[in-house]
Amino acid sequence: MKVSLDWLREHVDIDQPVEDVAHRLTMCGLNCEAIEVHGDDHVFELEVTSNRPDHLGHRGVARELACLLDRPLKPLQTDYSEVEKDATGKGLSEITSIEVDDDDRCGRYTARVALDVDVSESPQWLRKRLESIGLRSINLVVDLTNYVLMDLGQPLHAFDLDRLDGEELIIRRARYGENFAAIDGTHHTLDTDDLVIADASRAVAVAGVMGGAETEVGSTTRRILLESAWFDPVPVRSTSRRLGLASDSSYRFERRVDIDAADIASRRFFHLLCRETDCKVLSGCWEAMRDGLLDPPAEVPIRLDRTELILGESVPAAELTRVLSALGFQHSGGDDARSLWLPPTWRADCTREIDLIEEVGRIHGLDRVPDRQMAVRVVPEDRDAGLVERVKALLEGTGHHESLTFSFGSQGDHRELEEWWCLGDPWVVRNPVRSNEGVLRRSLLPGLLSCVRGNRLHGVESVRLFEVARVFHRRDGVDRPVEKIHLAWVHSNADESRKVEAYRQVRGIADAVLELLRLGTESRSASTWNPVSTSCGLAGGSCAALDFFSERLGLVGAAPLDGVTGETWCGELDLGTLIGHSEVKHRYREFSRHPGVRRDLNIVVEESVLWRDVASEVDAAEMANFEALTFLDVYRGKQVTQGQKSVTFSVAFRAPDRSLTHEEVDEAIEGLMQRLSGRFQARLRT
Amino acid sequence: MSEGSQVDLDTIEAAALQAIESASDASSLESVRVGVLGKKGTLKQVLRSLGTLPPEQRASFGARVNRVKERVETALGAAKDRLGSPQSKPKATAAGSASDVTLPGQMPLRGSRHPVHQVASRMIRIFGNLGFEVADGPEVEDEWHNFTGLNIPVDHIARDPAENFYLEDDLLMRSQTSTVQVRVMEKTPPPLRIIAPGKVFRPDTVDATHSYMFNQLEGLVVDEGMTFGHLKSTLLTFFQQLLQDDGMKLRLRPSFFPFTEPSAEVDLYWRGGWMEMGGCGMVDPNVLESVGIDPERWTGFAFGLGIERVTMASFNIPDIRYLYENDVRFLQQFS
Repeated sequence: MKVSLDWLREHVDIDQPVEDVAHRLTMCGLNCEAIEVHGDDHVFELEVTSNRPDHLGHRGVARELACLLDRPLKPLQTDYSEVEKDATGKGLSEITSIEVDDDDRCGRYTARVALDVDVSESPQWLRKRLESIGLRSINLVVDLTNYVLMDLGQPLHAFDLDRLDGEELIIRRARYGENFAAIDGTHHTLDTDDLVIADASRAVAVAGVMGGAETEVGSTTRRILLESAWFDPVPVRSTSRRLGLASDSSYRFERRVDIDAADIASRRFFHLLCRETDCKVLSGCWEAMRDGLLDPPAEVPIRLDRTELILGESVPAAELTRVLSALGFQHSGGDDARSLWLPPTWRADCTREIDLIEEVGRIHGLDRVPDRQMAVRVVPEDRDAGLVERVKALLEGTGHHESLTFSFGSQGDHRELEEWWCLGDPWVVRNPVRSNEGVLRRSLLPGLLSCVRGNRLHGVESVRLFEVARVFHRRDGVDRPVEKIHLAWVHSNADESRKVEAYRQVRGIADAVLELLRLGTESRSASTWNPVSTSCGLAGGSCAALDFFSERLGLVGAAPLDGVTGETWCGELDLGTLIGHSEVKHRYREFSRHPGVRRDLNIVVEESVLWRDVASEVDAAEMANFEALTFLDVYRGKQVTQGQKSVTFSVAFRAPDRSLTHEEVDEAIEGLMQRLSGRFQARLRT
Repeated sequence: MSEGSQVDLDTIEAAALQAIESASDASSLESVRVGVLGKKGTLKQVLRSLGTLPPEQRASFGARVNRVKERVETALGAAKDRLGSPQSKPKATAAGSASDVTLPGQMPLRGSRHPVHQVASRMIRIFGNLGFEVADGPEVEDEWHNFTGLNIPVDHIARDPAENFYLEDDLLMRSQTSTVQVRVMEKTPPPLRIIAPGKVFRPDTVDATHSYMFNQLEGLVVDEGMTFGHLKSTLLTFFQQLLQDDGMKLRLRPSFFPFTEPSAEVDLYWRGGWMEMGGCGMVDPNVLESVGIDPERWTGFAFGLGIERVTMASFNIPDIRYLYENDVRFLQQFS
């Protein structure tokens, strides 16, 4: 809100330098975001928090300053002279009447009437005030309503009484489809949820939001009816939102105006109107008020020791009393150790002891509170976080750049990939910011692939990205998303690389992660990589899944990207679940220091024979002193028959207690070859 | 035949080992290698005769050939170490012209950590040193944990559907990591000293400093005798450790949040200007009561810091959107 320093001086004497004033305001909770010079005046741009509607007027800000500077707040002039009857002998009650039809939404409504008003231009001082805070001068009556609004934070609205149809104003719900032409020139169709001020034939104002064009005060106006009311915040907000119609008034009503200000602001208006122009204000005031709204608030206690406990500093009783009194709280009993206070009507936010402690702390200065150190405390190690960290280090160390993408996804581009991970429907976002972010993602790859695509299209030839983040799955019987931590990585190269190698590199990341996690023996034997037969959104025929009991924990394959040359390969693991099965326990195991023997075998098999099956056959052979099986190469081409491939691997042997003889190994290899040729018709390639 | 082959094998082996021993330079060694192990080498020829053997002898003969081959290879390897490989010029001249040692090295591939995660890790480490344990909560929350438990009343503007990403029923993307406060306090009795880093979601208009998803680090302490002074000291120590710069200043500026009271904005003065880094305050008694903690006995403080804000300040990044583009040319700057 814009606040003029000169204007503040109407309420409190200020002789401090401008910057000091701005700083004091900032450090009591009214953040000064900018200071504008306006002629000989300075205007502060203050950030007002939602709990302090009393700061949406100059007097409220001045009250804060008065307390900070320990100066008195000047009294507000609200007196004016009244006439009992108009020229025809009618009093207020004969000229108009008000009926509140819906007091759930209108807590208080007051109306006063002035006659023989000369709606002239505003005097210089008034124009200056309004212009300093960015408002345009319109005419004396409208300007004074705005002035009081910006001074006391109470919205006012003046109707041209002669343009109302009939004498009675009704505060009622709008009729469905009722039309309304607002002062700002916009037209609206109302709803039964909207509250309006209506005359005999139409809505003349949307309550708390804006007055109507047809009854606005202009140069021909002679008689005005001034509304000063209190509308419930929530309906004002929803109407304002729905109509897309906001005003300085709705802004304040939404934040709850002072229930007591309606009458004071109305009288202040007429005080100023009578001061500036000749007019006759009819005696009396039409008023309707909901029962109990102005009942005195409950007493709030504040304890000195509790204040010290929260702030970490003792505040003298006299200071506490001074601060609360200056802010408008009334001392109502108790003693120094525990005093009782009645909050002012404009402080609906203060109902508890902690609210008063905050007031004291705020004015006293939160920044002045002395530092207090906490006792030392030991943080236990977090095994899972440590493993995630090691996995990330592995990816970083192998040339991947960590990415940060959004948790949203779309149902379009990579639907099969998302559904491979989770067949349940995606969780739908009701109001996505972007149309391609309408659901929560079930897989990390679509987001990562789109980053890869962006990079490649921007001319980055070789891209390796990874991300560890959450995906959101739907599981039967669970009424909220199951959040899983996934790891995904992508390799993309402009160069056409050899398919087998690209696959093995991207798969190698998965293997390295699994090795790092050291799954328990049972989990390890239950997890196998198998060709993916169902469609999974990746290129068919070169895609493998990590099956784990009946779960799917990983996927590796090629992802063709539209408009991107070369090859793109990617992988994704359900890292959270894998970590759950991790059994990293580093223990020394005896190892053989005797020389071992290694045999390289080169076998020719049918194309359909998978390495997985060769490996399991080697395992099943249970060869004595078998140490390790290592894949070396696969060859297809002139040297082997079409439809066959030659696979080279090495088998290593080592005995725990002696050097192995070649004969022992030869025997084992011979046995192995028999198994392989028996199962796959494998033969040695010579 | 087998007998003859046996003799051949032994002869071949002996001759080869002899020739290797007497080889005086790398090229003569290479010719020995080709002569024995090469395509037309003596060993290869013997191996070709394998087919003429009775099947039952083939395997054992093949194995013997292999054994010889291994021994020859071992001897070759040893001799090679002695003489140098044929490609490299004689050792005497290596120092003069062998290679251009000013050529650049061949670096292994190096990746990088995302700057936001780097900063988050540092923040976690520093708070860890201050005794804060990491807690976790879901990104999808219910209204109770996102609002009610945090003292945000039913008609509060923060609950407006337009201000949040709602899913089904009362589920929504959490709009602040303060939700983790409630989750931790529901399960764990005080004393508590936790931090919760993570993503939060608010449908803000995207610009250089706003994104509709960003990362926050929440902190919560509940203990006996906790005061605003402890909050202040904790944040000051944290930023001193993070920035390692005596020129920085921290101020806690009174503000309003429904779940803390007194509340304050955390303003950081660094490199010549003030920046808002997050919010903080004493845990509101209503929040403690809603999870069954007696606010008369326990007091506490909480804070939420914007990780992107800290990241942008630390690395001098001018636009928050750069953090989510994942452009390699941006990311590799932080390797």
